[in-house]
Amino acid sequence: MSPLRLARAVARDLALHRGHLVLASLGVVFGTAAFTFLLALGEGARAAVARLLPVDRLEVVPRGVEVNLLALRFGLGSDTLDAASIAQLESVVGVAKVYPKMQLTVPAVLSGGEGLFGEAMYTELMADGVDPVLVAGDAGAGFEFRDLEDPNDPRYVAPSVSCVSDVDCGAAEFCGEVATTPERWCRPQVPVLVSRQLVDLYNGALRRAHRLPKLNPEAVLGLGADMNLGASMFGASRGPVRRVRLRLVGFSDRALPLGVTMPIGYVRRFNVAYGSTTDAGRFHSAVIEVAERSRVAEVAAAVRRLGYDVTDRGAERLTLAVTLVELAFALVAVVILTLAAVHIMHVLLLLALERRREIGLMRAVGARRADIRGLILGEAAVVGVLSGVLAVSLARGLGWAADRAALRLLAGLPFLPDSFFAFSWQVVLGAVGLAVAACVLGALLPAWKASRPDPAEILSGV
Amino acid sequence: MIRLQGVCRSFRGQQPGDGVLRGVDLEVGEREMVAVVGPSGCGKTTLLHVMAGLDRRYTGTVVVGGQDLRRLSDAALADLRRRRLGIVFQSLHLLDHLTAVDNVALPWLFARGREVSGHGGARERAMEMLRLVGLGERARARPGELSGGERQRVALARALFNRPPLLLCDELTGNLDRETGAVVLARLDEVRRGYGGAVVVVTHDPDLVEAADRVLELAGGRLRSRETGPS
Repeated sequence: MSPLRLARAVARDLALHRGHLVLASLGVVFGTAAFTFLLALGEGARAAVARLLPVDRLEVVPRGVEVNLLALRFGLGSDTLDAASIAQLESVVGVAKVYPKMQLTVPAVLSGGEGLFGEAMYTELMADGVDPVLVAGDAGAGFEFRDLEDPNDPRYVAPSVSCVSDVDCGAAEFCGEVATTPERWCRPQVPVLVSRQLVDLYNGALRRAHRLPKLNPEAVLGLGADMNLGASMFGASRGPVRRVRLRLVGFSDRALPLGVTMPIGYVRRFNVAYGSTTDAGRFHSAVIEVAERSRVAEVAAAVRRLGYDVTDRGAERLTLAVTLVELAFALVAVVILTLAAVHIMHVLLLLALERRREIGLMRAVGARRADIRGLILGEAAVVGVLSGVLAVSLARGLGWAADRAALRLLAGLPFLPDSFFAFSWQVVLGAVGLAVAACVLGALLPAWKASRPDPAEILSGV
Repeated sequence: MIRLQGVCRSFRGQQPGDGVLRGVDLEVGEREMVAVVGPSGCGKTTLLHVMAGLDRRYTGTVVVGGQDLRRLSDAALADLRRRRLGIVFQSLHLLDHLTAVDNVALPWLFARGREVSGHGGARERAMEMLRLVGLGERARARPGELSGGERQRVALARALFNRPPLLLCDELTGNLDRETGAVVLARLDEVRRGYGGAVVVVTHDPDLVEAADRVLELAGGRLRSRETGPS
């Protein structure tokens, strides 16, 4: 039987037996919809975890020995990484790239917010510096995150306009000292990124405690605040206090969770200015980009063998938990689909019994057993495709409704994703494939049974 | 065209010696029309099913067009039925959901290679067969909309669809009044002359018996010759 003739016969039979086939497909539709829904939920959870805790990147810190003395803990040995450490990490098999990170080791106080809150707000500021490549793409549209005062950058423009205050400078500039000289020049504001978690925390809990308005993250891009380097709210200031104007240019999940992240060149210069020249090569951690996600554990083990620690931000454990939940979901879905396959087998067996005379006649006029099997399996496959498409649509609809309900019920909680579901093309294709597999597997026995008897047995009712 | 030698067939509960067929020998040549008569339940339909390869639980030898049916695989037997045999069943077995022309073209669905060109070619040939049996105007009617005689002719047209060298008919005119039976018989005769195929009819109809070249009577599980009437 040629594929074209098979398709014609299948189409005709589907139209003829649509009532039975709709009944047969109900189990598969609901089973596949449950499978798709649960799998998309698992994928959504995985995506949310990956967004909060990137699992293809490991943060490496020096391994130190710490000694507790009453309430205090003292570290023995170095707690920083140097250029040799970075080179050693780069040589680990499976490592794609190493990005050193440098913490700001100078106390600083952030002040600003008059325009937003009506009065100036002050807070101790934590900051770190990263290679802009690590957060590429996280700056908002029209903003850039790079070291604007790096003399080695061909785009660098040396300060040329002296000033007394910010009003003498351009919109994205501030009036500040260059190095340790007392002269003040118009300098570009320092671009910074903040974590989305910080915004969520502010909008969820902090603003309520201080009766402050909620922030629209997209509208605050470009706003500035002063970083008073050397100043501290915890104790005495260190060295001369210098004002640096920061400019918020974007949000990044790789930014410091409770602080600001700036291009590493700024942090290096600030640390050197308030410390010594050796601070230029002292990094507090390094982010390792792993070439393949599947090699994260292997790379982590190799890094530990070299004498470094991999900071556990819960990513590995959370990923494992998500995987286990996904497996549980998949198991539930497989059970549902198995029941659906049994259901479709039952209905198709009844249908084959009902079509016994028709099948006998087909055999009498020249159909091979394989033709009959092909016809029944072809019908099952088409029912599977249609059921799969319907199931995916149903799951998407349920997902949309669940998102709406959850976002309404959980409004105000931090770290909420836009959607709890991820209907990737792999999930959609997998769902349709599974529906087809369930239908075809369910049809195997009916197809075999329908094709077995001798035509005479059927046509004469022997 | 077809040769049976020592064919026996017994059903459950029957001893092999008491079966419905107890050593049937038969040979039908090209262009020959043979009528098989006998009382109801004597095994005429079973004999026809064995000749068509629909029933394989027999002993003995059945050779169609030089091919021993017992030696054929199921697929080869299906191909032989499609290419070399046309069968008209006593119950007709028309599919109620198909039109007359689609019923006639049913064998096309299972045709292989170049047996029949595309769907258009199949419909054209089905129409040709319907015209041959005088039903060209009723091609779009479903079996439920046709009279008994018309249904019988649709079944005949389906059996003729692949222009088979051997036509097997079970009570071709059994359910028809004499006048309609005569029409069907006339069509069968035209077809036989047109295609030159052999015909085996199982029948009670005296007119059909009269038209046959040879009449055989099935009794006691064996075939024996009976003289034909004047033709």
